[in-house]
Amino acid sequence: MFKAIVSAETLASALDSVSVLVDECKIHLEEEGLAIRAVDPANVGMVDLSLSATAFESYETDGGLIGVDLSRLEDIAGMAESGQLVQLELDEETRKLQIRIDGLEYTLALIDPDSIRQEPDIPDLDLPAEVVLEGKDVNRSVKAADMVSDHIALGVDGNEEYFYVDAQGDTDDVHLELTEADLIALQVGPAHSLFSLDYLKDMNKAIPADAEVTLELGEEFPIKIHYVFAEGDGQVTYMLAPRIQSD
Amino acid sequence: MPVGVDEAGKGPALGSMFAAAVSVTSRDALPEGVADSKRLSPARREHLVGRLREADGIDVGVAEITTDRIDDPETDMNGLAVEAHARAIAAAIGDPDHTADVVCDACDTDADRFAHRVADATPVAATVEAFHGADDDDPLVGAASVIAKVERDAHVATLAAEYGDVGSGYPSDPTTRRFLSAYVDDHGELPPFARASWSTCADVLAAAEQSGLEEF
Repeated sequence: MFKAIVSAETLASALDSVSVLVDECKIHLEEEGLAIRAVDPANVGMVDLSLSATAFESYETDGGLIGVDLSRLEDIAGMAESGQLVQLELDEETRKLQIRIDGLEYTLALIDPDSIRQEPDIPDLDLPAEVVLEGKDVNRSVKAADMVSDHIALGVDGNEEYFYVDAQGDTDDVHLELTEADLIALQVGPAHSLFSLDYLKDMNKAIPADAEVTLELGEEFPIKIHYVFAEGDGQVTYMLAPRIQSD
Repeated sequence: MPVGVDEAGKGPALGSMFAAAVSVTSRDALPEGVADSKRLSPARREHLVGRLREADGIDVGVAEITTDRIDDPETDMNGLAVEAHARAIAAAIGDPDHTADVVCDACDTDADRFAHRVADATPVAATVEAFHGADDDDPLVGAASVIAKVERDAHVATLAAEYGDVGSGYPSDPTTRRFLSAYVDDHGELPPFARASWSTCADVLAAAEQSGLEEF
């Protein structure tokens, strides 16, 4: 049994954060809320999302697991106007999701969860540096780096105590330094890793400009990116494996 | 004197580009059966090159543009194609007193612009015309295309003898892509004859550098 009502914005934010990495995903219907964990086919980028029951206008379930085509579900959520509510109800018999937005009814065929790629184990990483900044500064960093390169270095300077972004292109370079004054918080530690901009651009798309974003970094280690949405009732953690240059 | 020019190996992600020029005292000197290199078998091309190089009244010039030049940020492929054509023409015209009446296969979307640039770059007196499809329509350009193609094939064969099957070198060739991936996996860098500035090569390098989450 699953029956829930949620604002279209909250639903869209949740779906967008996952669809930047995968086309299909499993959604765990738990008493405390929805949970999604997915990894892209190359096993480079991962998302771990939870949307608490408190994010919903109403939420009832006795547990379960469904598989969904994310772009379909996003399209349907996109039919709602700002402020409209989306009603979701699982039909156990037909294994279809009934979606209602005002008078609009959409019956979404679900995907067998067993046919969806296995959910990843989350690597247990203890990363030494932590940077807390605004979503718009993440956006600015990614956008600037993308002008010159297909990869971006993120690091923390231990002596001068600042977070930096470096991108080196064939001819042009981009460098950005954010000191503690520019950031919300900074925990200095040895950190310098290179990441594919293809992935970071996609993750950046899902990060709201006004969100408080936490980056956890190490030396040639994956980055963890956390932010909350839906007034704190939705939580997203991305993890992205670094590019490692041999020289 | 009539001269035909064409290039081979402009598009591949591996190895040098070649231009060949064939200069003849008279178009009658050309052997029978010359056509665009792409329409002839490798054996037929080799045979024709032998005849062209031995025939009286036919001179052949070849110019090679190496991957170092291609990767040089100061160069671009159109400019290098112009340079290769001009050098091949100069090499085919032994006697600088002769005026070359050059026909080339246009190596640029704008055929007239290409012809002008080749004429300007050629160190001997030359009139230059360029057409799209000249390698197919003009046997003299066809002869040049055969020589350029055989030079490029020999170059790729030399690379294959040292490094293993590299395929045709074209980005669309699965053998070439497999070779590049395997080489980068083993050596952590591109092979020395790769056109590092080609997106195919950059992509292979990026893919090799990308780690997976399972490694942590």
